[in-house]
Amino acid sequence: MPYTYVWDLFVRVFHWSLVVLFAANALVIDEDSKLHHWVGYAVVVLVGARLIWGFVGTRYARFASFPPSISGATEQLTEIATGRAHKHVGHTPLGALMIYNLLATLLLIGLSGYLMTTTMFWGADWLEGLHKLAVSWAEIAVALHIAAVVYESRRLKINLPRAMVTGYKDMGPE
Amino acid sequence: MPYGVMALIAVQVLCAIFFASDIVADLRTYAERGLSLTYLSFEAAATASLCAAILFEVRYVLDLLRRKASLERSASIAAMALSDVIEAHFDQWSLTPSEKDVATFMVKGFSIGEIATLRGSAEGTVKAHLNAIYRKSGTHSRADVLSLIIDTLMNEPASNAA
Amino acid sequence: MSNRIILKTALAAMLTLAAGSAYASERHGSIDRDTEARIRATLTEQGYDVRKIKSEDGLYEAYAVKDGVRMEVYLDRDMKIVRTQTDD
Repeated sequence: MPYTYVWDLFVRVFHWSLVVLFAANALVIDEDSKLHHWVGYAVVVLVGARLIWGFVGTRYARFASFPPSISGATEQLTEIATGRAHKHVGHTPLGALMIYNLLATLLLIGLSGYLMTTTMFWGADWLEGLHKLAVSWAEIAVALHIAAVVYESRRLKINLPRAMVTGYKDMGPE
Repeated sequence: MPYGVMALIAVQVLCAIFFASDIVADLRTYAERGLSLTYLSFEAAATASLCAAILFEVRYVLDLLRRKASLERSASIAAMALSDVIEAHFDQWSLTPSEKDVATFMVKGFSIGEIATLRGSAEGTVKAHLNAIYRKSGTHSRADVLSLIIDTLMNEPASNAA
Repeated sequence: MSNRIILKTALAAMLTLAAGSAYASERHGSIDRDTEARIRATLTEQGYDVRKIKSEDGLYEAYAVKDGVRMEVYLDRDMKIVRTQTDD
Protein backbone atom coordinates (compact mmCIF):
# COMPACT_ATOMS: atom_id res chain seq x y z
CA MET A 1 0.00 0.00 0.00
CA PRO A 2 2.45 2.72 -1.09
CA TYR A 3 1.00 5.99 -2.44
CA THR A 4 -2.74 5.92 -1.72
CA TYR A 5 -5.39 8.43 -2.80
CA VAL A 6 -7.39 9.14 0.34
CA TRP A 7 -8.88 12.66 0.42
CA ASP A 8 -11.01 13.75 -2.52
CA LEU A 9 -11.08 17.33 -3.77
CA PHE A 10 -14.21 18.31 -1.85
CA VAL A 11 -12.77 17.18 1.51
CA ARG A 12 -9.54 19.06 0.90
CA VAL A 13 -11.15 22.30 -0.29
CA PHE A 14 -13.61 22.06 2.59
CA HIS A 15 -10.85 21.60 5.17
CA TRP A 16 -8.68 24.52 4.11
CA SER A 17 -11.58 26.88 3.39
CA LEU A 18 -12.72 26.25 6.94
CA VAL A 19 -9.23 27.06 8.23
CA VAL A 20 -9.20 30.40 6.43
CA LEU A 21 -12.78 31.39 7.27
CA PHE A 22 -12.60 30.39 10.93
CA ALA A 23 -9.23 32.09 11.44
CA ALA A 24 -10.53 35.22 9.73
CA ASN A 25 -13.66 35.44 11.88
CA ALA A 26 -11.98 34.48 15.13
CA LEU A 27 -8.83 36.58 14.80
CA VAL A 28 -9.12 39.30 12.17
CA ILE A 29 -12.63 40.40 11.29
CA ASP A 30 -14.37 42.95 13.51
CA GLU A 31 -17.09 41.12 15.40
CA ASP A 32 -19.47 44.07 15.03
CA SER A 33 -19.23 44.06 11.25
CA LYS A 34 -21.62 42.58 8.71
CA LEU A 35 -18.70 40.68 7.21
CA HIS A 36 -18.46 38.74 10.48
CA HIS A 37 -22.03 37.50 9.95
CA TRP A 38 -21.50 36.58 6.31
CA VAL A 39 -18.31 34.62 7.01
CA GLY A 40 -20.14 32.85 9.82
CA TYR A 41 -22.99 31.84 7.51
CA ALA A 42 -20.46 30.70 4.92
CA VAL A 43 -18.96 28.36 7.53
CA VAL A 44 -22.40 26.95 8.31
CA VAL A 45 -23.07 26.36 4.61
CA LEU A 46 -19.70 24.62 4.24
CA VAL A 47 -20.39 22.38 7.22
CA GLY A 48 -23.84 21.59 5.82
CA ALA A 49 -22.27 20.58 2.52
CA ARG A 50 -19.76 18.39 4.35
CA LEU A 51 -22.59 16.68 6.20
CA ILE A 52 -24.23 15.79 2.89
CA TRP A 53 -20.93 14.68 1.39
CA GLY A 54 -20.44 12.48 4.44
CA PHE A 55 -23.28 10.33 3.18
CA VAL A 56 -22.84 10.43 -0.59
CA GLY A 57 -19.14 11.15 -1.06
CA THR A 58 -16.09 9.01 -1.75
CA ARG A 59 -15.11 6.15 0.53
CA TYR A 60 -12.93 7.90 3.08
CA ALA A 61 -15.13 11.01 3.08
CA ARG A 62 -18.13 9.07 4.30
CA PHE A 63 -18.91 9.14 8.01
CA ALA A 64 -19.41 5.36 7.82
CA SER A 65 -15.66 5.00 7.29
CA PHE A 66 -14.88 6.82 10.55
CA PRO A 67 -17.81 6.31 12.92
CA PRO A 68 -17.57 7.74 16.43
CA SER A 69 -16.22 4.83 18.46
CA ILE A 70 -14.97 4.81 22.04
CA SER A 71 -13.62 1.26 21.64
CA GLY A 72 -11.80 2.30 18.47
CA ALA A 73 -10.32 5.28 20.28
CA THR A 74 -9.18 3.02 23.14
CA GLU A 75 -7.59 0.67 20.61
CA GLN A 76 -5.71 3.59 19.15
CA LEU A 77 -4.55 4.61 22.63
CA THR A 78 -3.38 1.02 23.18
CA GLU A 79 -1.36 1.27 19.97
CA ILE A 80 0.27 4.43 21.24
CA ALA A 81 0.89 2.83 24.66
CA THR A 82 2.56 -0.27 23.18
CA GLY A 83 4.55 1.63 20.56
CA ARG A 84 2.77 -0.15 17.71
CA ALA A 85 2.26 1.78 14.49
CA HIS A 86 -0.43 0.35 12.24
CA LYS A 87 -0.99 2.90 9.53
CA HIS A 88 -4.53 4.04 9.01
CA VAL A 89 -5.75 4.99 5.55
CA GLY A 90 -8.68 7.29 6.38
CA HIS A 91 -9.40 9.14 9.61
CA THR A 92 -8.34 7.38 12.82
CA PRO A 93 -10.87 6.88 15.65
CA LEU A 94 -9.42 9.73 17.72
CA GLY A 95 -9.31 11.89 14.62
CA ALA A 96 -12.95 11.04 13.99
CA LEU A 97 -13.95 12.20 17.49
CA MET A 98 -12.17 15.52 16.93
CA ILE A 99 -13.90 15.99 13.57
CA TYR A 100 -17.38 15.42 14.99
CA ASN A 101 -16.51 17.74 17.87
CA LEU A 102 -15.41 20.50 15.49
CA LEU A 103 -18.38 20.10 13.14
CA ALA A 104 -20.82 20.27 16.04
CA THR A 105 -19.04 23.23 17.64
CA LEU A 106 -18.97 25.20 14.38
CA LEU A 107 -22.69 24.62 13.93
CA LEU A 108 -23.30 25.76 17.50
CA ILE A 109 -21.25 28.90 16.87
CA GLY A 110 -23.18 29.63 13.69
CA LEU A 111 -26.56 28.96 15.24
CA SER A 112 -25.91 31.06 18.35
CA GLY A 113 -24.51 33.82 16.17
CA TYR A 114 -27.61 33.82 13.96
CA LEU A 115 -29.98 33.81 16.93
CA MET A 116 -28.24 36.88 18.28
CA THR A 117 -29.50 38.77 15.23
CA THR A 118 -33.14 37.88 15.78
CA THR A 119 -35.61 40.17 17.52
CA MET A 120 -36.54 37.48 20.01
CA PHE A 121 -32.99 37.07 21.31
CA TRP A 122 -31.72 40.60 20.66
CA GLY A 123 -29.45 41.62 23.54
CA ALA A 124 -29.59 38.20 25.23
CA ASP A 125 -26.46 38.02 27.37
CA TRP A 126 -26.54 34.25 27.82
CA LEU A 127 -26.58 33.74 24.06
CA GLU A 128 -23.58 35.98 23.53
CA GLY A 129 -21.81 34.14 26.33
CA LEU A 130 -22.62 30.80 24.71
CA HIS A 131 -21.35 32.06 21.35
CA LYS A 132 -18.06 33.21 22.83
CA LEU A 133 -17.65 30.07 24.90
CA ALA A 134 -18.18 27.91 21.81
CA VAL A 135 -15.57 29.96 19.95
CA SER A 136 -13.06 29.52 22.79
CA TRP A 137 -13.80 25.80 22.83
CA ALA A 138 -13.25 25.63 19.05
CA GLU A 139 -9.94 27.47 19.37
CA ILE A 140 -8.73 25.06 22.05
CA ALA A 141 -9.91 22.11 19.95
CA VAL A 142 -8.07 23.47 16.91
CA ALA A 143 -4.84 23.85 18.91
CA LEU A 144 -5.23 20.27 20.15
CA HIS A 145 -6.04 19.11 16.59
CA ILE A 146 -2.84 20.67 15.23
CA ALA A 147 -0.76 19.17 18.04
CA ALA A 148 -2.34 15.75 17.46
CA VAL A 149 -1.76 15.86 13.69
CA VAL A 150 1.90 16.72 14.26
CA TYR A 151 2.23 13.94 16.86
CA GLU A 152 0.52 11.30 14.69
CA SER A 153 2.54 12.33 11.64
CA ARG A 154 5.73 11.67 13.57
CA ARG A 155 4.46 8.48 15.20
CA LEU A 156 3.22 6.90 11.96
CA LYS A 157 5.84 8.53 9.73
CA ILE A 158 3.23 9.84 7.28
CA ASN A 159 3.08 13.52 6.31
CA LEU A 160 -0.57 14.05 7.25
CA PRO A 161 -0.83 17.82 6.52
CA ARG A 162 0.60 17.27 3.05
CA ALA A 163 -1.87 14.44 2.51
CA MET A 164 -4.71 16.88 3.21
CA VAL A 165 -3.30 19.14 0.47
CA THR A 166 -2.43 16.62 -2.24
CA GLY A 167 -4.96 13.95 -1.30
CA TYR A 168 -2.33 11.21 -1.25
CA LYS A 169 -0.94 9.40 1.79
CA ASP A 170 2.53 7.89 1.51
CA MET A 171 1.86 4.65 3.37
CA GLY A 172 5.39 3.32 3.01
CA PRO A 173 6.43 -0.12 1.75
CA GLU A 174 3.87 -2.93 1.65
CA MET B 1 -11.13 -1.10 29.97
CA PRO B 2 -10.23 1.96 32.06
CA TYR B 3 -13.16 4.03 30.80
CA GLY B 4 -13.77 5.46 34.27
CA VAL B 5 -10.29 6.94 34.59
CA MET B 6 -10.42 8.15 30.99
CA ALA B 7 -13.67 9.99 31.70
CA LEU B 8 -12.10 11.40 34.86
CA ILE B 9 -9.13 12.64 32.85
CA ALA B 10 -11.46 14.30 30.33
CA VAL B 11 -13.36 16.12 33.09
CA GLN B 12 -10.14 17.19 34.82
CA VAL B 13 -8.73 18.50 31.56
CA LEU B 14 -11.83 20.67 31.11
CA CYS B 15 -11.43 21.92 34.68
CA ALA B 16 -7.75 22.66 34.16
CA ILE B 17 -8.51 24.59 30.96
CA PHE B 18 -11.20 26.59 32.76
CA PHE B 19 -8.98 27.40 35.76
CA ALA B 20 -5.94 28.24 33.65
CA SER B 21 -7.90 30.60 31.40
CA ASP B 22 -9.33 32.24 34.51
CA ILE B 23 -5.80 32.81 35.82
CA VAL B 24 -4.68 34.30 32.51
CA ALA B 25 -7.63 36.69 32.60
CA ASP B 26 -6.92 37.55 36.24
CA LEU B 27 -3.29 38.28 35.40
CA ARG B 28 -4.43 40.98 33.02
CA THR B 29 -6.75 42.73 35.44
CA TYR B 30 -5.63 41.82 38.95
CA ALA B 31 -4.41 45.29 39.89
CA GLU B 32 -7.66 47.07 39.18
CA ARG B 33 -9.69 44.38 40.87
CA GLY B 34 -7.69 44.30 44.08
CA LEU B 35 -6.40 40.75 43.80
CA SER B 36 -2.96 40.16 45.26
CA LEU B 37 -0.23 38.33 43.43
CA THR B 38 -0.07 35.94 46.38
CA TYR B 39 -3.67 34.95 45.72
CA LEU B 40 -2.87 34.44 42.07
CA SER B 41 0.15 32.29 42.95
CA PHE B 42 -2.10 30.04 45.00
CA GLU B 43 -4.51 29.80 42.08
CA ALA B 44 -1.64 28.94 39.77
CA ALA B 45 -0.18 26.36 42.16
CA ALA B 46 -3.56 24.65 42.55
CA THR B 47 -4.03 24.50 38.80
CA ALA B 48 -0.50 23.20 38.31
CA SER B 49 -1.19 20.43 40.82
CA LEU B 50 -4.27 19.49 38.83
CA CYS B 51 -2.17 19.33 35.67
CA ALA B 52 0.40 17.13 37.40
CA ALA B 53 -2.38 14.80 38.52
CA ILE B 54 -3.64 14.59 34.94
CA LEU B 55 -0.18 13.68 33.68
CA PHE B 56 0.12 10.85 36.23
CA GLU B 57 -3.31 9.57 35.32
CA VAL B 58 -2.48 9.57 31.61
CA ARG B 59 0.68 7.55 32.31
CA TYR B 60 -1.40 5.18 34.44
CA VAL B 61 -4.01 4.65 31.72
CA LEU B 62 -1.40 4.06 29.02
CA ASP B 63 0.36 1.54 31.27
CA LEU B 64 -2.98 -0.17 31.99
CA LEU B 65 -3.74 -0.39 28.26
CA ARG B 66 -0.29 -1.80 27.62
CA ARG B 67 -0.70 -4.53 30.23
CA LYS B 68 -4.15 -5.33 28.93
CA ALA B 69 -2.73 -5.69 25.43
CA SER B 70 -0.15 -8.20 26.64
CA LEU B 71 -2.92 -10.22 28.30
CA GLU B 72 -4.92 -10.45 25.06
CA ARG B 73 -7.31 -13.35 25.05
CA SER B 74 -5.97 -14.88 28.27
CA ALA B 75 -7.95 -14.05 31.38
CA SER B 76 -7.32 -17.06 33.61
CA ILE B 77 -5.84 -16.49 37.06
CA ALA B 78 -2.75 -18.45 36.09
CA ALA B 79 -2.26 -16.36 32.98
CA MET B 80 -2.60 -13.10 34.95
CA ALA B 81 -0.16 -14.31 37.60
CA LEU B 82 2.34 -15.27 34.93
CA SER B 83 1.81 -11.89 33.29
CA ASP B 84 2.60 -10.15 36.59
CA VAL B 85 5.88 -12.05 36.93
CA ILE B 86 6.81 -11.21 33.36
CA GLU B 87 5.87 -7.53 33.86
CA ALA B 88 8.00 -7.37 36.99
CA HIS B 89 11.01 -8.62 35.04
CA PHE B 90 10.37 -6.11 32.25
CA ASP B 91 10.20 -3.25 34.77
CA GLN B 92 13.39 -4.46 36.42
CA TRP B 93 15.19 -4.42 33.09
CA SER B 94 13.91 -0.90 32.32
CA LEU B 95 12.43 -1.92 28.98
CA THR B 96 10.69 0.76 26.92
CA PRO B 97 7.00 0.25 26.04
CA SER B 98 7.98 -0.96 22.57
CA GLU B 99 10.58 -3.36 23.97
CA LYS B 100 8.05 -4.70 26.46
CA ASP B 101 5.58 -5.32 23.64
CA VAL B 102 8.20 -7.15 21.54
CA ALA B 103 9.39 -9.14 24.56
CA THR B 104 5.82 -10.24 25.33
CA PHE B 105 5.36 -11.52 21.78
CA MET B 106 8.73 -13.23 21.96
CA VAL B 107 7.83 -15.00 25.21
CA LYS B 108 4.59 -16.15 23.57
CA GLY B 109 6.56 -17.74 20.79
CA PHE B 110 5.98 -15.44 17.81
CA SER B 111 8.60 -15.24 15.08
CA ILE B 112 10.34 -12.00 14.11
CA GLY B 113 8.22 -11.76 10.96
CA GLU B 114 5.01 -12.28 12.91
CA ILE B 115 6.02 -9.70 15.53
CA ALA B 116 6.74 -7.18 12.77
CA THR B 117 3.27 -7.67 11.29
CA LEU B 118 1.54 -7.49 14.66
CA ARG B 119 3.29 -4.23 15.49
CA GLY B 120 3.14 -2.62 12.06
CA SER B 121 6.92 -2.21 12.00
CA ALA B 122 9.82 -3.53 9.91
CA GLU B 123 11.69 -6.74 10.81
CA GLY B 124 14.87 -4.75 11.27
CA THR B 125 13.16 -2.66 13.91
CA VAL B 126 12.02 -5.80 15.73
CA LYS B 127 15.55 -7.20 15.67
CA ALA B 128 16.88 -3.96 17.14
CA HIS B 129 14.29 -4.19 19.92
CA LEU B 130 15.27 -7.82 20.59
CA ASN B 131 18.95 -6.87 20.85
CA ALA B 132 18.08 -4.22 23.40
CA ILE B 133 16.00 -6.74 25.36
CA TYR B 134 18.85 -9.26 25.47
CA ARG B 135 21.32 -6.58 26.48
CA LYS B 136 19.16 -5.17 29.27
CA SER B 137 18.26 -8.59 30.63
CA GLY B 138 21.75 -9.98 30.36
CA THR B 139 20.63 -12.86 28.14
CA HIS B 140 21.38 -14.10 24.62
CA SER B 141 18.24 -15.93 23.54
CA ARG B 142 14.53 -16.46 24.02
CA ALA B 143 15.29 -19.63 25.99
CA ASP B 144 17.44 -17.64 28.44
CA VAL B 145 14.69 -15.09 28.99
CA LEU B 146 12.07 -17.78 29.55
CA SER B 147 14.44 -19.56 31.93
CA LEU B 148 14.79 -16.40 34.04
CA ILE B 149 11.03 -16.03 34.23
CA ILE B 150 10.38 -19.66 35.12
CA ASP B 151 13.08 -19.48 37.81
CA THR B 152 11.17 -16.64 39.47
CA LEU B 153 7.90 -18.57 39.16
CA MET B 154 9.44 -21.56 40.90
CA ASN B 155 10.91 -19.23 43.50
CA GLU B 156 14.47 -20.23 42.89
CA PRO B 157 17.21 -17.63 42.57
CA ALA B 158 18.36 -17.22 38.98
CA SER B 159 21.80 -18.63 38.14
CA ASN B 160 24.58 -16.12 37.39
CA ALA B 161 23.31 -14.90 34.06
CA ALA B 162 23.99 -11.19 34.42
CA MET C 1 3.81 8.06 24.49
CA SER C 2 6.75 9.53 26.38
CA ASN C 3 6.32 11.97 29.24
CA ARG C 4 7.93 14.77 27.26
CA ILE C 5 5.43 14.48 24.44
CA ILE C 6 2.50 14.45 26.83
CA LEU C 7 3.97 17.50 28.55
CA LYS C 8 4.47 19.36 25.28
CA THR C 9 0.95 18.66 24.11
CA ALA C 10 -0.43 19.80 27.43
CA LEU C 11 1.59 23.02 27.33
CA ALA C 12 0.55 23.72 23.74
CA ALA C 13 -3.09 23.32 24.65
CA MET C 14 -2.79 25.44 27.79
CA LEU C 15 -1.04 28.24 25.95
CA THR C 16 -4.00 28.75 23.67
CA LEU C 17 -6.05 29.62 26.71
CA ALA C 18 -5.56 33.25 25.75
CA ALA C 19 -8.70 32.48 23.84
CA GLY C 20 -10.43 31.44 26.99
CA SER C 21 -9.19 34.53 28.74
CA ALA C 22 -10.87 36.69 26.12
CA TYR C 23 -14.15 35.19 27.26
CA ALA C 24 -13.29 35.44 30.93
CA SER C 25 -12.34 39.11 30.74
CA GLU C 26 -15.88 40.09 29.75
CA ARG C 27 -16.05 42.19 32.88
CA HIS C 28 -15.34 45.55 31.31
CA GLY C 29 -18.31 47.53 30.20
CA SER C 30 -20.62 46.54 33.02
CA ILE C 31 -22.28 49.22 35.13
CA ASP C 32 -23.74 49.46 38.63
CA ARG C 33 -27.34 48.50 39.33
CA ASP C 34 -28.64 52.00 40.06
CA THR C 35 -27.35 53.48 36.84
CA GLU C 36 -28.71 50.53 34.92
CA ALA C 37 -32.13 50.96 36.52
CA ARG C 38 -32.18 54.65 35.61
CA ILE C 39 -31.21 53.98 32.00
CA ARG C 40 -33.81 51.25 31.75
CA ALA C 41 -36.52 53.55 33.14
CA THR C 42 -35.55 56.41 30.85
CA LEU C 43 -35.69 54.28 27.73
CA THR C 44 -38.80 52.32 28.65
CA GLU C 45 -40.61 55.66 29.08
CA GLN C 46 -39.69 56.48 25.49
CA GLY C 47 -41.17 53.26 24.17
CA TYR C 48 -38.09 51.03 24.06
CA ASP C 49 -38.12 47.36 25.05
CA VAL C 50 -34.73 47.29 26.78
CA ARG C 51 -32.77 44.03 26.59
CA LYS C 52 -29.22 44.68 27.70
CA ILE C 53 -27.20 47.65 28.96
CA LYS C 54 -23.45 48.13 29.08
CA SER C 55 -20.91 50.92 28.75
CA GLU C 56 -18.58 51.44 25.84
CA ASP C 57 -16.17 54.27 25.00
CA GLY C 58 -17.52 56.57 27.71
CA LEU C 59 -21.14 56.18 26.64
CA TYR C 60 -23.89 53.90 27.87
CA GLU C 61 -25.03 51.41 25.23
CA ALA C 62 -28.42 49.73 25.33
CA TYR C 63 -29.67 46.90 23.15
CA ALA C 64 -33.38 47.53 22.68
CA VAL C 65 -36.33 46.88 20.42
CA LYS C 66 -38.76 49.64 19.37
CA ASP C 67 -41.72 49.04 17.05
CA GLY C 68 -40.28 45.68 16.13
CA VAL C 69 -36.95 47.22 15.08
CA ARG C 70 -33.71 46.06 16.72
CA MET C 71 -31.58 48.99 17.85
CA GLU C 72 -28.49 50.02 19.72
CA VAL C 73 -29.14 53.19 21.72
CA TYR C 74 -26.24 55.27 23.03
CA LEU C 75 -26.69 57.64 25.98
CA ASP C 76 -24.34 60.11 27.61
CA ARG C 77 -23.80 60.58 31.37
CA ASP C 78 -26.88 62.83 31.54
CA MET C 79 -29.13 60.04 30.25
CA LYS C 80 -29.56 61.82 26.93
CA ILE C 81 -29.75 59.74 23.77
CA VAL C 82 -26.88 60.87 21.59
CA ARG C 83 -27.05 58.22 18.87
CA THR C 84 -29.14 55.31 17.71
CA GLN C 85 -28.24 52.55 15.33
CA THR C 86 -30.67 50.14 13.78
CA ASP C 87 -29.75 46.56 12.99
CA ASP C 88 -30.81 45.67 9.48
